[in-house]
Parts: sequence; structure tokens; C-alpha cells
Amino acid sequence: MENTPTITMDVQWRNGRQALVALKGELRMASVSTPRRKLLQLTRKNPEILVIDLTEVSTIDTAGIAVLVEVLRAVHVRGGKLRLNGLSDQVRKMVGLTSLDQILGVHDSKQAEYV
Amino acid sequence: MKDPGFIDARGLNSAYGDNQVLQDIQFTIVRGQVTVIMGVSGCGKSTLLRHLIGLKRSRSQQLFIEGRDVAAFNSADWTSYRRRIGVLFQSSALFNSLTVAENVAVPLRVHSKLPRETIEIICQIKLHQVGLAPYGDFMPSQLSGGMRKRAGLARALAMDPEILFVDEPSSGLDPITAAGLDELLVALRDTLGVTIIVVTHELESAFHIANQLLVLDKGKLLVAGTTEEVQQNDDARVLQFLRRTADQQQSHAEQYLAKLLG
Repeated sequence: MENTPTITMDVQWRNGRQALVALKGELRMASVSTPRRKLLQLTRKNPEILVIDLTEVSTIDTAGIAVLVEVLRAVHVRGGKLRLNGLSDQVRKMVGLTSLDQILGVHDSKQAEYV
Repeated sequence: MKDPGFIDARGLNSAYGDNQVLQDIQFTIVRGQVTVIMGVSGCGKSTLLRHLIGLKRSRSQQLFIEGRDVAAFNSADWTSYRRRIGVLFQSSALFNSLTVAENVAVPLRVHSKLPRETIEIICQIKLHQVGLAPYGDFMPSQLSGGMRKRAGLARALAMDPEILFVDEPSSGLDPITAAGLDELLVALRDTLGVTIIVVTHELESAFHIANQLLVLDKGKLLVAGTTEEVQQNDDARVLQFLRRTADQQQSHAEQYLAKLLG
């Protein structure tokens, strides 16, 4: 009845301090396992700023939001910052519905991390 | 080809023994809409809900989910369907030996492979959505009836269901909390496109949240339509229900007197 969602992840570093992560696909309960593991691994490299670009993420559910909160916690523990960029309407609504738009560091501009 | 709808009843009949409870019920539930099933107590609302959830089946139920006759469903089909639905029962049906947060976690632990940390965050999010964020460590017995209802809703929402069934959401709730639950249901529909089926006899709530209303009476569907179509319906029983006019007790009185006289 239901297709299994998929998601891919691309990582780039800038100045050795900013990690830029581009996610592509659906960040849902059935697909969060791998990006969760990779993102938490990435936080152990202590980026000052971790930017997650969600431009190519078409759908997110509460499990996806929960993984972003876990990543936020891991970044904060190490004194870093998390930025979410390029939210689609669905992702933005979902973040708003969970009242996490303030703590998750949502930015409208894809370029915000470079300023 | 015409979209068959998410759920189609094409002449649903149901009985408990010889007692016919539902007769030739026909309607379509459209994806992403709120459908409210209304009617007086004993009209068959909860039985209809049990058929839609798959808890009650009959030989002639003529019920189709995404175009498939549920009569042909095997156990794997029902398991797959039930993973996609959330149910808030009238009694809330919480596990009394588990905390509120542990109750919300039950479907996630059963149906997902998410790690404990992720599940705990999801539970906090869901409890926040229903206004129970501070009560995750409470036992159900420490909650009021309205709070237990909201905890049940948090559990029903835990898996982000495509279809949410809600049985009497307002019963036992104060008007402000009930209105808050209505707003949450509307937000779930508008934000996530959740298909919602609500059983209630609260008129104000029904007309506020419904895209489609089904009015049942004595096991028959009196009318199915938008709020405007139902309000314009001139069927005597529909009007009586909408105007909250009491039934005439004449027939019951005659039976009662006849019994007394032997």
C-alpha cells in the first residue's frame, strides 16, 4: 500500500569550521535511521556551525523533526550552532506545528549561513 | 477513472445477532478532509467506526479502502492499514501501569525501529501538541478525564497517522479544552493533510471542523453532505437533531403502560 521513502545526504566543509549538509528526499520515520546516524557522527567533528539545507526535502514527519532536535542537542553540547535553510512549505508547517521553529534556528535564505 | 475515495461504504450492513444496527450505509471519505459522523446515542455511530477501523466485520459490509474490498484483506493488509491509522477511543484506553509518556511511546515501540532517544522526543512533541507537556511522568490515574482524553489523542498521533479516528473527542472536556482539540484537528488536516473521522453529537464542534457530515438515525444514513447541505436538509429527523428537540415518548409510554397492565 505504501512506498518506502528514501533520503540522500551530501556533506561539504567550509574553512574547516562550517559543515554544510544537503538532504534530498523524504525525512520520515521509515527513512531517518541513516541520516540520523550520519548527522550525529558529523556533530562529533565539532563544527562551529552545522547548516542543514532542506531545499530538496519534500516531506518531513515528527520522526524527522525529532532527529533534527537530537542533532541540535548534540551540536549545542559541543558549543556549536545549527541552522536549517531552504524549508519547503510542508517542512515549515511541520516545524511550526511542533512549535520548534524558534529553537531549530530556521532561516529563510539559503545564503544565511555565509553572512 | 474516477478517484474511488479513501474509504467507500457502498451499502454497509451490520448486526449484533438478530439486531440490525446499520442498514445500507453509503458514503465516501475523501482524503485530507474531516468527516464527522453524528447522531443520537444508539444510532450506530460507534459500530460504524468499528467497521472503519476493522474491529468489526460483517458478510455484507461492502466497505472499500483505496478501492479495495476489505473482504479480500488478509492479516498483512490489516496490519499495514492499522499502521497508517490512529484511534482515540471514547474511554481513551490508556495503560494504567505505564506513565503518560510511556503510553504515547507504545505504538512507536511496537511499529517502528526508532531508537529510544528519538522516541522520547516524539513523545514530548506529541504531549506538547495536546497541552500535556508537563505531565509525561504522571500515571493515568493522576489525570483528570479530559487530560486522559488528550493523552489518548497524543498516543493516537504518535505515528503521524494518515487517518485519524476520534470517538467523542469532546466528552468529559471543558469548553475551552474541547475548542483547543478542535483547533488541533483542523491544524492536522490543514498542515499535514491528515484524513480525520470524528464521531460526535456535539453540533457546534461538528459544524466547525467538518468538511463532510454524516447524520445517522436508527442505523440508517439520513444525510451525507457539507455543513451547508446538512443545514439545508428538510428531513424531519435531521431538523429535530439539529434543533435539539426531544423525542416524543408516546410509543415508549404505551409499551410501558401495557407492560404494567400485563
